[in-house]
Amino acid sequence: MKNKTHKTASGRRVFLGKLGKVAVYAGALLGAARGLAKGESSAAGSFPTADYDWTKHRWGYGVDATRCIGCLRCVEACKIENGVSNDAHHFRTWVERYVYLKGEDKPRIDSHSDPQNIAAAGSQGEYRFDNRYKDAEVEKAFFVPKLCNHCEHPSCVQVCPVGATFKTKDGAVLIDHTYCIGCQYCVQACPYGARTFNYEQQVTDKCTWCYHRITKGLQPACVEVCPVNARIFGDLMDPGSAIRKFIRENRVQVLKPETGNAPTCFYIGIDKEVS
Amino acid sequence: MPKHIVRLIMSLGIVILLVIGSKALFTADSFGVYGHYRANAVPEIASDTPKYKGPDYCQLCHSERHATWSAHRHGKVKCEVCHGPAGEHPATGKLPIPSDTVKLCSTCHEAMPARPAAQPQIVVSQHSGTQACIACHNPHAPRIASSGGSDR
Repeated sequence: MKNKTHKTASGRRVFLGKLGKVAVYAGALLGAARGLAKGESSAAGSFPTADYDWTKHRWGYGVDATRCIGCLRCVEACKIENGVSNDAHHFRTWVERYVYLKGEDKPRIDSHSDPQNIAAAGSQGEYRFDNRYKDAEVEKAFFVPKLCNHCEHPSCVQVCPVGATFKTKDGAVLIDHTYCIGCQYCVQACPYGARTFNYEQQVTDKCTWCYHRITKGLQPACVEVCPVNARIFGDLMDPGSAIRKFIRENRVQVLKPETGNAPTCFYIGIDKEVS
Repeated sequence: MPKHIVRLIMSLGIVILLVIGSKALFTADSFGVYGHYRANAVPEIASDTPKYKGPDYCQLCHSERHATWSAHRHGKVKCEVCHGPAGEHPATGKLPIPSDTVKLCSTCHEAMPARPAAQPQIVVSQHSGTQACIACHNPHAPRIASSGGSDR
């Protein structure tokens, strides 16, 4: 009786041992197969396009708020280039106006989606700051262009339940609209409010740094149309690029560094209230 | 082996096969090649056609206008800022020539707190009122010679 019990226990041990071995071999086999598949796809040529290899670039963006004149041509160009809905509340980039009036501690902040600014523009498809402060006693005022910060550690990517948003090897945070289920977790997770929800397509929308342009050697549309060079874009891997020069010659900062998101949009000329 | 153990192993096998099968069926082909996303989404996004073509594209036909514009003070304000994106122009027709110049020009030049001092600004009502800006200014070479300044 005693012996029999012992035998059964040992049989179970042997069985478990064999099961373990099978699992290890199966795992190794699967891993090897995956590795092989990976090797094949990267050997097929440059990715994502025939003329563009994303491992050879690392994009970065600069904002010189001291230059911005608040003309909002960037907002308009972004909307047209990327087919973003034509109402004032869906946008991939925007410009904020900070106005400190004499005797007030906090700035008054508005952007193109403010009703008074829509009225000044004439419609939601046009973009303009009204001149509401022309007779006010202004202590200090400036414009700050904003967009997705294309973070090194993007919170939006971390919360996506389906892998619809991701960071590319060249530094852009993109959305796969065919995979997005429209749950909007990413909209809430982004500390910068850089994402909007497209109710017609039921997908989240965001700045791509005009990925279809930068992979063809062009500048993002907002950078292309900025008449005062307030927006700077370039390759962080290239020491001669505009963005490397911008970072080298200025003391740059990022928005909300305390979040640990590590943005790759760098700002100069902003104030303590800007976040 | 006892019957109930065989059944257990078989049903476990079926469950494992179901899991593997449904994962293969419901996951996109290129998912996971580079990370936790569909790799083919990247070339799809990259394949969009740019609408803003840049001044070099405009120069191909409008070389004279391009020469005037680039030599003067508006040389940093690219063609498509005022005329809109070239897109498939000229195949798709003419690009707009802005008619309401007061509205267009004041977008950048209306005196406004928050605008940097280096930006040339006017109080529209005192400067010209409702008169069209192009009555005096050539938008491609905006500074007026008689005002004393060279246009650069």
